[in-house]
Amino acid sequence: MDDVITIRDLHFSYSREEVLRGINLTLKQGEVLGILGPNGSGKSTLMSIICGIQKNWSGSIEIMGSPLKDYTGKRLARILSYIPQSFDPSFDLKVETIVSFGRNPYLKGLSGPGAKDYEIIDEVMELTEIYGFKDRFFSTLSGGEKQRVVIAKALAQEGRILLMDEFTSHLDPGHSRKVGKIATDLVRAKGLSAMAVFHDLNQAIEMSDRLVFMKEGKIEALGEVWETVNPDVIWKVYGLRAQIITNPITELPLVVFYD
Amino acid sequence: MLWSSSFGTVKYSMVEVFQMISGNLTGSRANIYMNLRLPRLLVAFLIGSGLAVGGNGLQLTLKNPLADPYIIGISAGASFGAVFSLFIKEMSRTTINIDLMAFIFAVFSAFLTYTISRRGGRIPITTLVLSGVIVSSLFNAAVTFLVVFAWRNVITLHFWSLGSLSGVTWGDVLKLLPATLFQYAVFTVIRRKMLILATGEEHAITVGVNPERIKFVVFFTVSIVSAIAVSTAGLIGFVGLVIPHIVRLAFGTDNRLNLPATALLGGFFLIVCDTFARTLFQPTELPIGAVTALVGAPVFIYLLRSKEVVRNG
Repeated sequence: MDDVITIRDLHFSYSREEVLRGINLTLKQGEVLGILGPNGSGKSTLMSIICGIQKNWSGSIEIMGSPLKDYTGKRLARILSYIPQSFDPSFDLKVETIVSFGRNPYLKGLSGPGAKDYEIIDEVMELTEIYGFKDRFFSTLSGGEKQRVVIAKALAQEGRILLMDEFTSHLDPGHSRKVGKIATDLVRAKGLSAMAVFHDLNQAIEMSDRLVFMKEGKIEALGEVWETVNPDVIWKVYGLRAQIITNPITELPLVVFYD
Repeated sequence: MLWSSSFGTVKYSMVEVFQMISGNLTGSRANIYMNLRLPRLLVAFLIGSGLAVGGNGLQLTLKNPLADPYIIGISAGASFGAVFSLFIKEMSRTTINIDLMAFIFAVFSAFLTYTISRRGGRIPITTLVLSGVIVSSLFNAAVTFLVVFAWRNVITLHFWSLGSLSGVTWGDVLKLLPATLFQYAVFTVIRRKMLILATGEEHAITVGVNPERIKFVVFFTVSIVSAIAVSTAGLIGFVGLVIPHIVRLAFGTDNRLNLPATALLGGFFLIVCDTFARTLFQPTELPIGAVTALVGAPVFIYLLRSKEVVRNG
């Protein structure tokens, strides 16, 4: 099976306003698909539909070959992990507790996490380099540390698909790169597939295998990085004039705005 | 705990207390203790414990450190239900179970406050507190109307608005015990899911927890306990607010001891408050709600200005 997510003719409205107007999209096994577009283009709505937060959409979405509507909340959570823009618990919790929430889809009835669950929890905390402060309270962490905890929680779900919604946009450039790299490296190392909404065009280019440009609930461009990133698309989507040069280090496109 | 029961209009020594409980001492003094003082002590413990555990549950599921059965109007709803059932009995001689009526209106007021205060999937502190105030004053006003209309006096009103543990019986203990235990058991079972919900509804969905189901179970369970507590002892505020907060500070939210500590501390707190209520101006009794409010209101003010609340704006 090559496509882990297949979306056909997806429509969605908040009360009267149509936010998604016929989205057709596939996520291939093993790729990182970057989603770009201005505010209000429907990127985040698309993510929240796929992970089951928004219902009442129309069209067809298949995840690992089965219709999304046939999944129970727990079964879906074993396949999909979601990393939001910010994670802000109302009460202060320990790092390890938050990571352990990722095991919830595997727990049955009354029982809490068992020895095997804690093995997984420890392993993902090592991978994301948070094991050292697993007993600290979440509120005492820096922004970058917090997002690593959320990534660890998502990994503890052992899903095949990662959905990331501007998960580095609250961080400074240094941490943004580090956290972004941790996430995409793990996706590749573990053979996962990921859909990620990006704020920063050049970061998206660097981290994604393919890109989707959205505007006003529709897809404007979709394809490999070099196919999609061009001044025309950027003008249409963002209304900005840009020049594309080759990044001397990565040999990927580098977008320079001159408006 | 037993020690506090020795104070009162009739005083007992600790030796007497143990002799009476073990059945070695009888007579009118022992009678007063066994049928008035001891059940009262147990009722205070059960109500305090039940309200504190209920407050803890509401706070987690509503993601709001200021939620408790009193603040969000569940208690006022329950008190209306209880008075309404007495009112029907007075007017038409038909009996509707007082606890059942209290429960129905407790559930109703819980969902009413919830619906009014919800803003785009969140329950902000301000709207929750304001809707709780509105719902409470609505039901309290209705209680006043019913009481004055049916009994032509306002003395009964004091009982409903400020609470009192005088005149409780072993029957009340037997009603409260299963309800409190039930709530404790339910919250132990769904504790993990409640904690997950406390980190946000959207997040809960993405790890396979259904927020609506958990909230429904919590509202329903808290309403049972609050209804029985209110129909037994009237409105007692702030226990469900203060105790969970103190326990969170002492143990942390995700500590295993959080729930048992909340239950125990809530029980002890109300016993102490009731002892003050009984003894401070004896032989006159102070309404217990006045005592808990005296302790609770300052804590509420402190909480309102604390970081935990500011963060949840």
